[in-house]
Amino acid sequence: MQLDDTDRKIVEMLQKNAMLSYDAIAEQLGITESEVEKRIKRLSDTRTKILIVDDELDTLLPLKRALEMEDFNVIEAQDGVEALEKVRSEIPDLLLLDLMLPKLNGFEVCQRLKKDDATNSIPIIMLTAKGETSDKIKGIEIGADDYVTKPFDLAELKARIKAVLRRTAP
Amino acid sequence: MRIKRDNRVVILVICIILICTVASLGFKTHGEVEEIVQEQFSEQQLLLARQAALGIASFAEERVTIIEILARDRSGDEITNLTRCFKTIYEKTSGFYSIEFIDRNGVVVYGYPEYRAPVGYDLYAENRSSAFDSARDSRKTNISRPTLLFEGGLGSFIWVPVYEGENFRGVILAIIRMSTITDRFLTPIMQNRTGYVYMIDNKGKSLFEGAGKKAIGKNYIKMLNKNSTSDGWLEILNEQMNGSEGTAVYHEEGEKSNLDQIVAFAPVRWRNQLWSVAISVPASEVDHLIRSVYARQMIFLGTVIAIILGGSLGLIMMFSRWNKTLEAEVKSKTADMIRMNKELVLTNERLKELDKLKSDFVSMVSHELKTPLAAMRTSAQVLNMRDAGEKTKREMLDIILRNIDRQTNLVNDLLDLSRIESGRMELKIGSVPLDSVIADSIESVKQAAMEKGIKLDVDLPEGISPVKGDREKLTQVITNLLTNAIKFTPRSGEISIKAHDLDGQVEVKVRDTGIGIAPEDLDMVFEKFYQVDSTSTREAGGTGLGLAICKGIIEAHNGRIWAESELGKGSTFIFWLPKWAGGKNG
Repeated sequence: MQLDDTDRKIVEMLQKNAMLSYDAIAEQLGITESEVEKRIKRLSDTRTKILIVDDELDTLLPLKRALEMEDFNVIEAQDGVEALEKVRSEIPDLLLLDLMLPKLNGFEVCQRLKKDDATNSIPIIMLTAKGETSDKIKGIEIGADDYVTKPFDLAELKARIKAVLRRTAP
Repeated sequence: MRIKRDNRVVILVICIILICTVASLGFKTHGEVEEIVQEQFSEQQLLLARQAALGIASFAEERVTIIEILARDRSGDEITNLTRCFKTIYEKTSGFYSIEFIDRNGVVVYGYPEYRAPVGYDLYAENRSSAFDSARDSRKTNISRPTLLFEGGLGSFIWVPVYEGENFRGVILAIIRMSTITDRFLTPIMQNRTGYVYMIDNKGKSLFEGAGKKAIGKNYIKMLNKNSTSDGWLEILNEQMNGSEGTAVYHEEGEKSNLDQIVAFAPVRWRNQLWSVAISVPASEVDHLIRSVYARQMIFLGTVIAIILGGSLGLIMMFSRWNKTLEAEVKSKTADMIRMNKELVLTNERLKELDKLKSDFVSMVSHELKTPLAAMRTSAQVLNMRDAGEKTKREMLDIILRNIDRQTNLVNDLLDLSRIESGRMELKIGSVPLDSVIADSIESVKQAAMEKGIKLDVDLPEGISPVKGDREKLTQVITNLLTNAIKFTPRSGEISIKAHDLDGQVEVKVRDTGIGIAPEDLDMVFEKFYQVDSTSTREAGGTGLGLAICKGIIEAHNGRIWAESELGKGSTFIFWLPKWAGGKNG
């Protein structure tokens, strides 16, 4: 799980005093109480977090259900801009990224994430119906960790997700 | 161009070489010709002289013979008979000046013509009897050296003795005037020619002088010794007096001219007489001849040069014209090739564009086909999972059904499009009333509009003209346009459909209060998959082929369709269709 500075401070405070209330933490860090609650909830969720980015809800939903059954913490985004926002706020452990996205396409999202030091360690699996070799090469070149073409086998995708996570584990 | 000039230079050089060759050959032959001509000329003069000499000799000999025959036959005859013959001879033969009979005493007794006969003239008395005596004593014909006649001019005296056995009767004297001979044989030679003829006897006395120097009867040798200017000629005269024949050249230093003279001479042998005929011609005559030959040669040479030059010029002209036509042909061919090349490049670009469009379309189609398949596959696999809950299972089934519909729509649209693009779309043309078509279309989109809270407004004037078309296809167009409008219109928006008559056409407008289309995209919206590729409208769903199909159908009806829009305020899709012009059918 990826942590930012605020997360680390909250963890430090809780390690010193486990009985510290949300109210006190929020006061100390200058953030709202709900934000603290959200962060603590996120920190206490130890499941691997996967962000699925796809504008096709019909594709996104079954995948989300399947991964949830595998006990992954699944979050979703439906366009490139939302994907970038979610990555920054949720700090997922892995991205399943469709290429054809409104607003910002998959390549651009991947490129931006890989350029940013805060996010370049998050593994990305490209997920698209575009099966051409040139697209695959382009995906890999701009830093995608794997490339899976639709329609895919769920078992294979899960295996690949696990493999990528293993490879990139700290 | 340089090559052409080089060609000309080469041809010019060849011409010059040819001309030089011809000229040098001509020059060489000129020398030979000069020699030959001189030789031939001399030979010709000699022949002429010889011919004249022979003529004179035979002419004189004939006359002598006639007289001799007459003298021989006179045995026993009376002198009267003899003298009667004189007339006949004089009249029948030309050339005699007079024929006289001298009796044994040396007195002229008769002569013909009588007026020329000095009858009674006594040779002894005049002391001129030597020739008479010589003839009598030798009993042979005696010819005296040409002497001056009483009447002027030179004459040749032929003394023929007449014997009757041993009895001497007298002498027949025949006189031939020298002028008779020379007029006959020498004067004609030099007619129309340069030069002159002269004849001398063996003492150097002039017998004939063609140059008009009035030297007849005078002695050349004496004359020449007096001024002694022409030594060469003196030598020639000596040769002539010896009776030789030949040709020679001497230099004459005259008052008016300073010339070489060519002299051809031949002897005249007549009994005891030796004369010599000479033809004297200036050497310039040979030059003249050569010059005439030369002139011919020059004409020949000129002609040859003219032919060569003309031919070469012609060749050059021909080649240059040929070159020009070739160049022009090459130029036009090159231009053709350049043009064809350009066309090929353009065609190639167009083909590449078409190819790209096609592969883009194929990749788009495959993407669009794969997307619902992916959804169905994943959903099916989720359905198959043991720990899937009831709710999830329902969700998955819904997804599968929805995507089956979506796939079906896509396949239908693709088929429609394929028919339109290949021109295989079958139209059941008939009279189509717009109100019922619009009503049908609205019926099929009502549900979707209601779900989004969109108001549908129809404005149709009474008695609007029916259009000419396929009812089903036109319903599809309007339904597509309405579905499209609903898709891009936010909740609680408004969609209106209006129609009215135009001149020969009917206009239908579908207006929405949706997101609108950027001006630069207005034409693009009718492209296949345009909205799919455009990220801003991705969430609207659909196959992306609807508007392309609408355009195909309207155009197949000879109508036109276009879009007008203001970004953020809404779009209007307008199409025109031809009115139904036929009878009340359909």
